Amino acid sequence: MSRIIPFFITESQLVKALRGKDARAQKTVYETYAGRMMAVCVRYVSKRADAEEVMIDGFMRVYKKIDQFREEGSFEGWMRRIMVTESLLFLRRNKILQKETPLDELSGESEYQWATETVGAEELLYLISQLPDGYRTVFNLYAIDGYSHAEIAALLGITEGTSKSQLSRGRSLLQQGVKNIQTSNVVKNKGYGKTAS
Amino acid sequence: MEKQPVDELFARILGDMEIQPSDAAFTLLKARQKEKHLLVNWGYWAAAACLILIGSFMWWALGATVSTTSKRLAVAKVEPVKGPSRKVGEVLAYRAQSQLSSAGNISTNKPKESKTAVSNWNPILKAQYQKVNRQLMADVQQKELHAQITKESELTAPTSNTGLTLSAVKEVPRESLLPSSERTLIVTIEASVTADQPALAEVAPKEEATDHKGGLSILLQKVKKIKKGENLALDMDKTQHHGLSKLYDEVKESIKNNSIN
Repeated sequence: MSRIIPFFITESQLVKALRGKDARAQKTVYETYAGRMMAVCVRYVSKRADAEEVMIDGFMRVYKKIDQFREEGSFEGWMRRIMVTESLLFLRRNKILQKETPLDELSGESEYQWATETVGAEELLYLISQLPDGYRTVFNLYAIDGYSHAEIAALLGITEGTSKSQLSRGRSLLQQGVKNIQTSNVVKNKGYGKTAS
Repeated sequence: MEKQPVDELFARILGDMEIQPSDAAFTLLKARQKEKHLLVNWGYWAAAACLILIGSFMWWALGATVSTTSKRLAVAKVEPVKGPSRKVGEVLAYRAQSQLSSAGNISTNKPKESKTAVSNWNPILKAQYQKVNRQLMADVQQKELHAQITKESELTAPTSNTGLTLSAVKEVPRESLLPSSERTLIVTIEASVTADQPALAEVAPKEEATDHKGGLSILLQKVKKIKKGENLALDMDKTQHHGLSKLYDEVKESIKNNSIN
């Protein structure tokens, strides 16, 4: 997929300019992808300030390791992977991933019917940020960024079984959270409807 | 494990989500890039400085070794080959070695230091040194006389300036410079050289003077010969001129007489 970018007609031209340490190309890349990369970092690192630090480190790594990009996949996908790696490094540096999560926080609800239209992005992001770090990381990697359990196990230094169990527990918490949000939204909407009528 | 609806919901909504970072983020990014660049540069400068230091040290070390070998070769060139002087050299070397070992000074590679060390010798050693030096002087003078005689007897034979042949130049074994045990041997030889220096300094000009003298005498002799030859030629010219003029006068007179008659 080639994206049309201002100053640089195609993505490959932009990458070529980046390889030449072109400051204009670096700025273009930042302006084009900063929002999406920031969102990736926020999903893994809950605090915004920390996420921004991680994103800056990620961009620095992108500029530095641009020669390693072989243009086989999309440039954005490659950048996303770098951001994910940076986020995991940050979590590991701060020993966030090593914290144990108490099991009594978990709920066993798995059969949940969805009514997704009533849940917004900010609410989902909030739900994810409320997850324990291990669950959040595994859920992000598996459900949103498309990593396999084997890859997750290798990245986090855990077994595949641990990855699977953390994912299922994370899911359960999120389902519970979504249900609660939906219920409150329905109540709000009903209340709004009464006052409006 | 298959994906469930909750996964798809989160992936669909959060997958393409955008959150704008703060305005200062890009400035911070640029500042960090510069900082890193400077750090990398400092690293290169430090590495370059280290290399220069190591290089200069190695150059200095190699230079010292080379100068030692060159001195040694120079000594071997100047050193007379014949018996007595070599003995003198060995004796002096022994004296210098003993003096140095008693002083406990190992690093006396420089001739200047050993030269000044002579004045610091104990009186007995100094006397022995002077004695040996006198012997050396006598040897040299004798040799000089011998050389002069041979020169006078064989004027046509080619002579070298120092009276030394190439066979006198001894190659210094390179291995002897490397081990520490034999390095002391080098020191002693250099010390002997310093002891020889005044004598050699006197020898050299004298040899040069004799050569100069011999050359002058040859020249004088040649000049004398030439002069002799010139004189002979002049005498011959004079006699020839005298005879011709006489003949001419006689012919002139006979012609005059004939015409009168």
